Amino acid sequence: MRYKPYRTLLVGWLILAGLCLPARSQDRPEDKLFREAKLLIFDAQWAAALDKLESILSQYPTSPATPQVLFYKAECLSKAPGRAKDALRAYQDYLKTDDRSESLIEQAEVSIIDLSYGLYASGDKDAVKDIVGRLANPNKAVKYYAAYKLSAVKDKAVAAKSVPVLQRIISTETNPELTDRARIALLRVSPKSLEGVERRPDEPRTKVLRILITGEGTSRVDLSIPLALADLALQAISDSDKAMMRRKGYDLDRILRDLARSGSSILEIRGAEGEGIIKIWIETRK
Amino acid sequence: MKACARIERRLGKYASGHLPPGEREAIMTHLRDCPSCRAGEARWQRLLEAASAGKLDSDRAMTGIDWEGLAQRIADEAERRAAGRRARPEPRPGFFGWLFRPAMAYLLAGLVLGGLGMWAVFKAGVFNPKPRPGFYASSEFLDKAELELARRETVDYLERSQYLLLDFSQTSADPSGAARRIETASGRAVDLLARKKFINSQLDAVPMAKAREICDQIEALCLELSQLGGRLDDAQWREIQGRVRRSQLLLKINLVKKELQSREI
Repeated sequence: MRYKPYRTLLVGWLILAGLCLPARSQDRPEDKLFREAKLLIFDAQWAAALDKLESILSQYPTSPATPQVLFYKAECLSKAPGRAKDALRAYQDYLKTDDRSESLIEQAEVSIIDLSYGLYASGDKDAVKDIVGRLANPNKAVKYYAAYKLSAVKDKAVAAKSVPVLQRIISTETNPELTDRARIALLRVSPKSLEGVERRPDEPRTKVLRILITGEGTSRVDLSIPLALADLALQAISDSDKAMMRRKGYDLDRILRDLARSGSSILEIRGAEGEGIIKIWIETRK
Repeated sequence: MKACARIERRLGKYASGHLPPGEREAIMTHLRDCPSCRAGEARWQRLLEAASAGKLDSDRAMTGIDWEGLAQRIADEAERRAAGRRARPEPRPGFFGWLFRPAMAYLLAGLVLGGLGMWAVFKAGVFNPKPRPGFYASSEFLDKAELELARRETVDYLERSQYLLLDFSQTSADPSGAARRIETASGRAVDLLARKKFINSQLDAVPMAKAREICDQIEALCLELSQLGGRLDDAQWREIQGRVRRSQLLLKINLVKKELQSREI
């Protein structure tokens, strides 16, 4: 049979047109505007994106894209200085819509927590209620985020409300990023609550990492934290102390290896004259 | 005048009768004419009378003394003291004498006060802090620990985003398998959105400032991808791919990731 290229081209074009036409036919006028708005958001042009989103809402109030447009409007408002309250209202409007997506609901809830925290920090004491209320949210990610954020609140009595959720994260979660964050948050709010949750039924003794850094006669760092935070703690010491440790041939791996080998004895790293002395050891407590 | 001074020096001996007769007569002659020297002679006489009265008392006392026994006791005592001095040499009076006594007192007072001060300092535990029970860490340290945690999470976030974008940029819009791959990308975008929440607070800190812009761009893309499910037409696909290319997002991710990784110990 003779090969006919025009026929192949025609078939190819028909297939392509068949694929593209349904999509193009679904393209509504507001969709084009919405894509442009998203492009502006990607480029962090929040004010221009907000204008576009508001024009979609006013011109096409019954569009199926309205819930998403509301969400992106809230995102733009949250980036605009001094419009935190408007952003809060916009997120709440989105949460009241019927056609919502799970990922955007979670994103909106978390943004409400962030905005409320900002308002509380700038003096609006009532704003903290929006965070406290989310400690009982059925979505685990929202509940955890509310607890982390609440633990950073200056009023210790309010921050203490996060303790049960933080304890639960440590005792039930396996993701070290979540548990380490919860440990740091509990150390900030209520170190005593951390002691209780660190003591496991199968291991009645708690391993405690002690770091003491002294220099010129005064104590600069004095830590007593769960061993689980060891690598984080060593990484968090000051740059000058880390530089001194490097000069003495210590990196994070070597310190942890030496500590594991030495057990309860003290690992002592002495700097040159005028530098500090770093003592690291592990204590086992009942 | 000169005669008066000479006579005055001899008056003691004159009054007590210890001068030779010739000298005694010369003084008598002078005394007759000199009232001042006569007054001096009278003072000597009173003095000698008082002395002779004391002598009578002492004479009476002397008669009651056992001279032989006393001599023996004095000799014994002298021998005992001499033996004591040989055993314990007397301190050198020059150094420990009266001249250095105030200095020694000040030194002693200084030692006592210094000792009390050191005791108070050690008791307060400045040099050797007492181990406190339980967990504790300063808020500065906790801030640093949180920042460190965010650094690690940001590196992880950027790495995952990089894989997602690489995978997405290689996905063609052809129907065979593309929908499934886009669905996977959409699921991974949801996971990235969840991770981003926890690093948001720390992205405003100075060491993380460069990561902020990129993480926000990735978040915007992830939000879009998370809404797609398996639905993505050719135009949308090309538009998102173009956006990633135009913003050089993959290159920026690499650079920021390297910088954040280099902060490790």
